[in-house]
Amino acid sequence: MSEVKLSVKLGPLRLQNPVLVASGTFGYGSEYADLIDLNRLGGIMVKGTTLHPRAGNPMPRMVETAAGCLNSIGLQNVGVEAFIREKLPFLRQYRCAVIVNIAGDSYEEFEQLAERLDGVEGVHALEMNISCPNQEKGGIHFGVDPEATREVVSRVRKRTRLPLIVKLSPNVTDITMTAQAAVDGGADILSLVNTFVGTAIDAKTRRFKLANITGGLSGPAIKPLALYMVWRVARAVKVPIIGMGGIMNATDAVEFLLAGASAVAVGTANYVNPHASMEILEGIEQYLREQGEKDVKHIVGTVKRCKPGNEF
Amino acid sequence: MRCAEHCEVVANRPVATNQFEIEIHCPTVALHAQPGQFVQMRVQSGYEPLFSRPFSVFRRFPERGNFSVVYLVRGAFTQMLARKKPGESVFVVGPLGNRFLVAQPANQVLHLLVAGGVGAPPLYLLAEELVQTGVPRQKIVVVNGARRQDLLVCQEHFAELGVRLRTVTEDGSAGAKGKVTDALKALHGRGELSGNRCQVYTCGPTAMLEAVAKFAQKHDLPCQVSVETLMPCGLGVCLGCAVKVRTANGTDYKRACVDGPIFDATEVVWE
Repeated sequence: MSEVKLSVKLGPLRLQNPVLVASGTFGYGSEYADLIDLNRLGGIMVKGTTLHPRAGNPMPRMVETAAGCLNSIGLQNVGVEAFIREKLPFLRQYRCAVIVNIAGDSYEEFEQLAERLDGVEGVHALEMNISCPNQEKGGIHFGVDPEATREVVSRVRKRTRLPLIVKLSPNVTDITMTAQAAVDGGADILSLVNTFVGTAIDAKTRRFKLANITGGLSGPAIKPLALYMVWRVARAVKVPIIGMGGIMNATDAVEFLLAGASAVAVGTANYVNPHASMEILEGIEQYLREQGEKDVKHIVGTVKRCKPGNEF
Repeated sequence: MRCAEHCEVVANRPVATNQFEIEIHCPTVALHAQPGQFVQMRVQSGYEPLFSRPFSVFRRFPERGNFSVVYLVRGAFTQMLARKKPGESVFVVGPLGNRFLVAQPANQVLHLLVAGGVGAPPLYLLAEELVQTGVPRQKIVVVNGARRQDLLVCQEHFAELGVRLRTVTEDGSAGAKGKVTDALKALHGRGELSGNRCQVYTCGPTAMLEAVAKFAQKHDLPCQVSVETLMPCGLGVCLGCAVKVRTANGTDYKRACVDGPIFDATEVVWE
């Protein structure tokens, strides 16, 4: 059997394969280390990290919806110092890329996070979380404003030499505007999409189901929306894309690659099946073999128009 | 030691009205599960519902590599679970979470196990362990409560163990009429809890846990509660099962799935 090349190069970031795990769905890796071989992952995007520890939002924070899940965790995390001290040493043992998802409420917080993590051994890239839907209080909502997006990205760009990923919000009228703004600010890579803002109501009690009222929708319910946005952004900008949003299996992942993503991130599926990322990696490899492709990069963005008569 | 794998259903038998015990072949859980620990189970092939569901381990059969859980059929997930036939498979992740800690010296402590509805199975596993490790049966008191007789869980199993069983139902259809706290007050009124070193272990609906925790606190009895919450991942990453706890500088959130599900009752902030 011929070898299939799975390693990908996303601008300055090299990954041994295109399967990452999305921030907030995989903790700090150690939680899954006895269930799957972390060395086989393309990369781990760690839980959203802030300058100071955060306790998160009140309960209930998560609710199941049709083929999906709304969450309003509120960036509960240990803070950047504890991350470096307590979480990173474990991750350094593995050969997968470690991507730190950083979240700030102000330009200054983003700058300080980038500076703190620059040059820290074992950190391979930063992913800027300018799109968390559960962090509206007080902070600037960077991710929905192209000018604020460009400004915060360019400020962070000046303070780190690490490959810079910007995670885009889908809660905008035209995602290509914020995508272009992030690229103009100096993003090396774009990741999309973050969750869609939504809510859920209990008719019986006449109350909202989440303490925070709103949450971010993830899971298979959002896949068609995410896929569309990846396809649009891929045609609008030149930087590589990490596609995510409801990827549950290898076929879903391949669809994102065909739409124009150079790599994918598995999120909510990690909750449902701890082996999801491994099964997706194996499934992509098998798909490439079946399609007679020798290199995963050859299928990126190759989706074509449908043919009449192909409906079945 | 834990696993995440497809496991064969060995038996799925009704144990009471609308109540089933499902026995599953899973040597890892059978060998390693401790009283109070749980498994995440997935029976659906599609996305409706999306998440797995947590179930406390009820019985272990290490010699044949099986374990069982008890469930009430009350929603889409448990309806699917009830349709599983021997030979079919379910996806199991576990064992997960922490365990009830047995107060020491175990044979000198009065162990008071307070169960509400489907909270009974992990307490059965605890009672069984206490009996097997030589704790005298008269030192093990189980208060098993439910709204009605048909919602009582593990009744015969507790009876078979030969521990002291106090049954309560809110409508009086089995045992004494009232709530588990009424049974606790009665025990206390007869002086059974004073003069004894006593440890309370409880599992059931949140309102009941709170009432039991407050009873324990009032009478200065140590109490471990097993909390009930939605657990999307069970692995400590989604942070959707947060439990508010007291800390030195205020409050914080812990994860029911990995920091619990068993907590010291004085640590939990009841809301």
